Amino acid sequence: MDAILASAALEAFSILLFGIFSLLIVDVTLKRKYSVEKSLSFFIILFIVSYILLIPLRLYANQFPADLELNLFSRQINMTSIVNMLAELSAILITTFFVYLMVVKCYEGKNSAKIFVASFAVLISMIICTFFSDYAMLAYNNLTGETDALMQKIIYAILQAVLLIIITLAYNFLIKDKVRKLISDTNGEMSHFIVVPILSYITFIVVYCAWYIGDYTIKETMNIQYLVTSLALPIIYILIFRLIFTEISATAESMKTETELNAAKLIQTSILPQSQFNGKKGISISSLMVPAKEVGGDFYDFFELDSGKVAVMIADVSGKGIPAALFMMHAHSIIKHNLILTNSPAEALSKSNLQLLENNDACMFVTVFIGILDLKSGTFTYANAGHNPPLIKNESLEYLSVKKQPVLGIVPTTYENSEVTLSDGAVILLYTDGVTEAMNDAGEEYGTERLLNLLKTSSMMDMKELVELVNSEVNSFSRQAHDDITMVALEYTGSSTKITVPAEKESLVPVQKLISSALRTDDEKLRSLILMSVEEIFINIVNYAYPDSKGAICIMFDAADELKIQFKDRGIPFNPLESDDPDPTLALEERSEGGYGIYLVKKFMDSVSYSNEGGENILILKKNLH
Amino acid sequence: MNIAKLSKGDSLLVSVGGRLDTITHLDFEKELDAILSSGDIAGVTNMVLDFAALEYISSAGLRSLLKLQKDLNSRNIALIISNPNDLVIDVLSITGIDQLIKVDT
Repeated sequence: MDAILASAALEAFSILLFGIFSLLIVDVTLKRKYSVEKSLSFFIILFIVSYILLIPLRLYANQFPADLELNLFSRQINMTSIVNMLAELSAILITTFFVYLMVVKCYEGKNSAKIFVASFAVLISMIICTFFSDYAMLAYNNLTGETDALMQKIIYAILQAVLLIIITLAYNFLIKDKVRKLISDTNGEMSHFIVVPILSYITFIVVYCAWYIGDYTIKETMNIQYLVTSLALPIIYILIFRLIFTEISATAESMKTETELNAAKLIQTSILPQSQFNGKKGISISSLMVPAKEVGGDFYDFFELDSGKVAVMIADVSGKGIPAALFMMHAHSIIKHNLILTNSPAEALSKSNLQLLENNDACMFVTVFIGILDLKSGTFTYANAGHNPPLIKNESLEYLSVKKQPVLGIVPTTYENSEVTLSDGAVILLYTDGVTEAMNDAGEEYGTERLLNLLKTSSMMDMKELVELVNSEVNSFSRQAHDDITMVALEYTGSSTKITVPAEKESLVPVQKLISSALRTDDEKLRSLILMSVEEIFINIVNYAYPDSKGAICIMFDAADELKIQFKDRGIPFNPLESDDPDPTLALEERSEGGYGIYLVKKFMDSVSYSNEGGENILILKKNLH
Repeated sequence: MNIAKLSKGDSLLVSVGGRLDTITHLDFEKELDAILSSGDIAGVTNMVLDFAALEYISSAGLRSLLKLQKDLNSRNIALIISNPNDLVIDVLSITGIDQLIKVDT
């Protein structure tokens, strides 16, 4: 009895050995969470629990009758080998669980990284424990002719321990740093890769168990085929793993670079204006930037200066990638600073040029267009440093005439301002060459002519539509990877205010607030009547122009002596003024509940008119404010 | 919009403040439905809508008033609007709703 128990205890111990060494491998790789004492006591508890579980398992397997065969479906099934296989499998799983529990509980890092390392360690130790120890044991038996079973088991455990120590040392010197680098490259987020060691582990167990069933007795003789195949398997494993490892490393590295590039892109875009000028008296601006894959050198900005002026600029840095991005950040802050300081495009360019020239060892340059719009007079003062001239739609549609002056950062020079007076409704489109140099499959560029014609033939409700139209046209023209596409479109609205909102009920309140704040009247009743009329028209558009679809409503108003409010939408053409007025003399039962809104507007406003032009519903309200 | 109610014998006083428009009229209808289906309505013959604090009404609010009037008719309860401001008076009279609902100025 004692001998049986001792034998089972030894077997259980030799199985647990691979768990212990797996933990050693983990321990040199990961950082412990607790003190040595605490970790060690946790380890001892787990070890004892696993040990207690494993001993009866081994006892049961050992006492199972040898060569018990069952007749199942007219086949002879060797129950002994099946029971042995199951016992071995359970032992491996218990030990693996013991390792996982210890690693997840006692080491720092994300779970995916911990499981990755644990699985990898278990896999290495398991291969050593099963294959190599078996061979070493067979060799030992053949050499010494040892026959005492208990002695064999003691030797087996010692052999395993020696092999495991060797492999742990080898791991420590050869592989540990690679695993650590992998974890730091992925920031410990290894859920993508975790499948590799786990699948290898499962495959290994399946193969191992299959051999158990296949021929349990084959180990007793030194079968050359067995030797070759079972040696080949771990070697193939090592090779495949090496390959996968390099692959993972490369993937992790590129993921890291990508993360960093995305962060850089985020910093870059955060210097761009975060909101559009939507609902500001005198001007409406919309911008669009579709960056190419990598970080780029395009930038734009627009902001208010003192005394009712708005500055707008667009720029394109030479080159691509990180150098261009760095130079762009530098150039942007210098130019913006000088523009705020001088309030003059030409002066800002001259000063910035000198500053950029100073430390420009990399010989980078930037093309810049700057304009300042005086919202009262409509005077647009601009200067250009080698940038492509903007499109302007004032009296006619054309490219703005700009002085041919050099780019910033190359030669000292003095820039000069030009001026143009904008009439109400004038539009200026600033863009970078990503737009005009986009190429189609035939190698043709989109070009300035196409851009001009596009704007000639299309009608735009607002600036957002304009930049989106150009972007979609360029994209359908050029399906190739393109440069950054950057645009800023501004409209001078004179004494009017223009706002575009989504066609939904929730947009009503901000629109009413904006109109109310522009109304200079003490007559609260008049104010309410106007806001009510705005509500009726707005809700009418939401309900009838866009019953089931999303869209936008563009509202432009001028609150001078006579209030004029224009509503534009691209929804279903619908003239609300054509519907019948409700009859105020009817009795309650004969009345419909609807139809009052437009009727009230017609009664309260001085004039209400509707037209449909170029696919736009246009409704105009007028009311004298005196 | 805010709504408060006060029972006085056979009369139920409902004060409506703020705006009665596209955004708020559904809340108004819901509140009144709740009042009409609660015990407060037992024995009531008059409902007074106090519009003293109502700043603004639009056609969506008018529809709610017409619905309410129809509902109260079927329950034999009289509806009276009291203290409307100038805007509300204008809106009610232009649409002829003051011919259907009693307005007490």
